[in-house]
Amino acid sequence: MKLTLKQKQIYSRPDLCIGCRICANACALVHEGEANPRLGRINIRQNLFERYEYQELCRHCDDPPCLDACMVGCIEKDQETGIVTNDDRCVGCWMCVMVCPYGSMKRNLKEQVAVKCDQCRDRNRPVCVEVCPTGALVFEERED
Amino acid sequence: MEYVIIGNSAAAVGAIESIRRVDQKNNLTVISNEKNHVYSRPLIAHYLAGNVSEDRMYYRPADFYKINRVTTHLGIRVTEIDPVAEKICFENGSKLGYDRLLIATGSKVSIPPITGYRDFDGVYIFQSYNDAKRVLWRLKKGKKAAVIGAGLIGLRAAYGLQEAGADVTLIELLPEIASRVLDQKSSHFIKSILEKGGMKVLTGCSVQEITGNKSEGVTGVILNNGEIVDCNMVILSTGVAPNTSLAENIPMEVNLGLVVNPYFQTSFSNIFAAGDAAETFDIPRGTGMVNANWPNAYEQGRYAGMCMAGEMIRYPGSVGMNSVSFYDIPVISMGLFDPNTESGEKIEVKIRENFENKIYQKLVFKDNRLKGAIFIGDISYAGAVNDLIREQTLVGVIKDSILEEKYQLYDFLRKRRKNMVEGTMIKWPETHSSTIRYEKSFNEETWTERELDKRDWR
Repeated sequence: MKLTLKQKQIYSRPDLCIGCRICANACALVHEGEANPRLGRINIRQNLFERYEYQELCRHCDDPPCLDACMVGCIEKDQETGIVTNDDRCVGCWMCVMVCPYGSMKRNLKEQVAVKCDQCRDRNRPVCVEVCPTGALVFEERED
Repeated sequence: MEYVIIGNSAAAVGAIESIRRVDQKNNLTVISNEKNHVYSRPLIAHYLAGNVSEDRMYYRPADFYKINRVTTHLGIRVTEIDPVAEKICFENGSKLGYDRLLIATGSKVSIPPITGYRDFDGVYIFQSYNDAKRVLWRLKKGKKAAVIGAGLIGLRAAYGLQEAGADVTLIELLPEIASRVLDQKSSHFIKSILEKGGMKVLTGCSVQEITGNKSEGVTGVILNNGEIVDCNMVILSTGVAPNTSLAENIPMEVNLGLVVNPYFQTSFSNIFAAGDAAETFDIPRGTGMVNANWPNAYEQGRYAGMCMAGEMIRYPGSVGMNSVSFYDIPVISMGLFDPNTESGEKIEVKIRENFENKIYQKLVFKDNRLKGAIFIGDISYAGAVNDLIREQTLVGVIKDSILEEKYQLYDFLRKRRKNMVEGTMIKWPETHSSTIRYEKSFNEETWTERELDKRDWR
């Protein structure tokens, strides 16, 4: 659960987020081909009173609890890039949903599989970072 | 140095992977009484239902042993451990020496005295891949099945058979189904869901006799109230117990399972135990407990492997948890979810129930800390709750707002996450647990310290 030291991560700047969910929409569109923010790998929880949003996204932990929990063995951590991915063997047992402290494992209720952020491996930058209109999402290396 | 692992499932894979992360050189041997490549045990119910094909049953790719340079002895049983000579004995009489031994033998099915369960064909336990294959083969002969024992394994087996097209009768001795994982209300709810799906659920009755004949095998079971259930197949899922048979003839401490310290050492400092066979610290209960499930087994195996290879990392403890789904309704239970059956004071329970929308959520607090939870239907923040249980965070301020998913919950989680991230930047003074090397722990100078450390969580 400790965060990696040298890995590019998606970070959010909550003070800039306006809760428009364009990131979740774009994410779902790229990965599932459907503009449905429920299917996005990034989830925004809004607090309208104190004016900030809580972004649930995968931190690509060093010792991912979801990897420990996956009973199919379909969650893998790439040793070089450190990206944790889920593949199509998922049977929807929701063990990973149960253990993720960041709440970043999402359920695709239509196909009954778990979906998670893969930092858009095929693209240069994650699509959520690209589309964010206020620049609230950044993709960078931080020491933390 | 020789690493030897007895068992070939979640804990063993976790141990192999973490040993190889630390130690690339030394020999690693895996022994199992099953001939299969490492497969996913919880998936056998899905295999039965036909959701998972045979090639997807395997937990790791076929070249897993080759990549990690593991010598395998599959299909052979270990009969005895000789801790003095540091050798294990196989059933065929040969011996193998070890320097670090991991016992990851898992659990065994405990079968109550039922007349006739050995006499006829068609009586199966439901634990391994081969069992699932046998059940599938038997399913071709007749589509009527009786599942005895409605624990989680029984429920999964029954649901798998149901999906495979069988006519299933579920027989449970206790008045509630799955009483180890669900409380009364949710158990009733799950029962009604299963009955709506066409399963016959009989609670509060036990099986007296299994009847049958030599040519056809099983023909039925007789219940204690005289009722007869016709079936071609009986699955016994009457509970599991840690497989501690290897510790019987040696002075190894056994309580509920093999007792281990936070570094997974048993009474012998070079024999480790992990997985369903080991009794580890249970965080919400604060005592030792066997938390037998896949995520805990893998995690324990990972920590045990680290300790075996010399990186002594303290295991924080486990939380009993489980996740299943019936007819696309997810069910998650974790920790101490039903305080009525277990003694305790100052317990607060928060419940949100909406059975029309198939939602039931329950949180159990004690001393302003979360001790357990049940989630049915809506499980989106179960992970966050699991983390709060695991870390035993003080959650007094957000007690009321968790179930309503008010903004205070996310406020709290956000602040906590910030603390977690900033907390990692603080350079804590190095404690002995992170600096002590494994080799050192065999010296006499550190002996007492280690002994004191052994059971401090009791």
